[in-house]
Amino acid sequence: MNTEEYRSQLTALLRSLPREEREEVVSFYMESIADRIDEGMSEEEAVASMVSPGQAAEAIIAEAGEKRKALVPCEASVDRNDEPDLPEGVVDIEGAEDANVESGEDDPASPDGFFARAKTRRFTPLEWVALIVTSPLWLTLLIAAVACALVLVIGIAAIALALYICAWTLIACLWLIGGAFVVSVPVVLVFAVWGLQIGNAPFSLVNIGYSLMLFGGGMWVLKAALAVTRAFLRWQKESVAVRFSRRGRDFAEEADLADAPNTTNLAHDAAGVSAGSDGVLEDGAAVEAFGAGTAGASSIAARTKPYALFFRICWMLALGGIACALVGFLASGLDWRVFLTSNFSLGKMYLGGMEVAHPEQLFLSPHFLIELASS
Amino acid sequence: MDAQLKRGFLDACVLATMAQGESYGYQIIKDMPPSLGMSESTLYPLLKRLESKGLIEARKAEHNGRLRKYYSLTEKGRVTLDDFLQSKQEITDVLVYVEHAAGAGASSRPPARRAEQA
Repeated sequence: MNTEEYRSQLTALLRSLPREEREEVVSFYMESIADRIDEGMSEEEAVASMVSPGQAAEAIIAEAGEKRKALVPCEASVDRNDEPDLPEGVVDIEGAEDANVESGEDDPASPDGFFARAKTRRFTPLEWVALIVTSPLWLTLLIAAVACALVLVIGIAAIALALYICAWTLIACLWLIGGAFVVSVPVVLVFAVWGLQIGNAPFSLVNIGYSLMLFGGGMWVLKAALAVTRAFLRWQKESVAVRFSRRGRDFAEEADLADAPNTTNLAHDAAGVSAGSDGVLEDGAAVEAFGAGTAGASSIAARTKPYALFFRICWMLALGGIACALVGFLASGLDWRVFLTSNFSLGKMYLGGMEVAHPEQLFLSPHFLIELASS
Repeated sequence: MDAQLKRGFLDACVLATMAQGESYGYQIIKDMPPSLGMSESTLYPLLKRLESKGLIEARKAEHNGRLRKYYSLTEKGRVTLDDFLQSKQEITDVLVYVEHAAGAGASSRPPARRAEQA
């Protein structure tokens, strides 16, 4: 055995020790060999006069007193008969590893094998870095991060969709309210006829006022619904469809240029009013104008669009309806019951507080229709 | 010499070797009494233990183009060595006792048993 072989065997047997300590031990033994050679021995003689690497390692480990430390497997070149005879209390991990090979505990991929090795070894900083970087925990964290991102995206999308549906529902409600107002006009007019039939003129006046208010107001509500629908569609087109289109900004600009005159006209149409003398409306002006419409604004609308006159008439009808209802109320001697349409009490029918002696004679009443059908 | 008995004298022998001046591993082994059977595997742990106790100190110096580690006695090591020498009489007394006791026992043992043991 030469010096290098001695060094490699001793180094291999002491691999369980910290690197600095191992190097110090090996250098001590190398120094002794070198001193022997300086004294005139040949290299082989010098090495032969030393204790074997196994004995040296045994003594060093026993002295270290690290009961749980152990020798790592020797290199293939190490003579197994030269392995140290470990003292009691020092674990021969090599022997343990031989025993574990069959049980699979030493499998590097096995968690048991890994932790067993981790307990008996000190990792270098580089090994720690490698352990952390290659930890399967990162995959778990990545999956969790992706899941969180997905949940966030889906949540935002769900909220956006819910708001979108709510907006359309409100618009639909506006259409329904306006439509219901207009559709109910004939029904209210029938009540007015019934009032005349039973001689309750104030009741008829009030119901005629109702019908005028319902028609005028209903038409304005429908107009507002149309304006809101257009405004929402325009916002949707500009804020959602255009921004996400593949053509991007160019398409948006084209759309703006193409829609600009129409948009202004539509706003005029919807509102029938203008907040300023230049005729330019902002988004939502139609709705605001509905609530705060003025006669001056109506006159501008009448000049600009033919059908604006219709809405002006509707506006006047609504006002006239209010006046008509008030006149009916005054004519009744301020009897609030004229505002009631009809009610039944103890088998009798009342219209505007007045009992109806012959309900079957009322125009288009259920009795009337039945008799009409039978005749 | 019995290993346990030897162990008690090793520290004192190494300290005594260094009392003559600083020395290095192989030189210490050569200077030690052959009866102690000192080798590197015995000396290195011993030197480490003495060094950790502060009884000796080490320095590295170049020799023939390589580094050699020299060990020398500290003041604390010198005191420890003196203490050991102070106990010389006690050690001698123990040896004398063992010698006399063993001799007396051998002379008083029955002949049959002595023959058995022989």
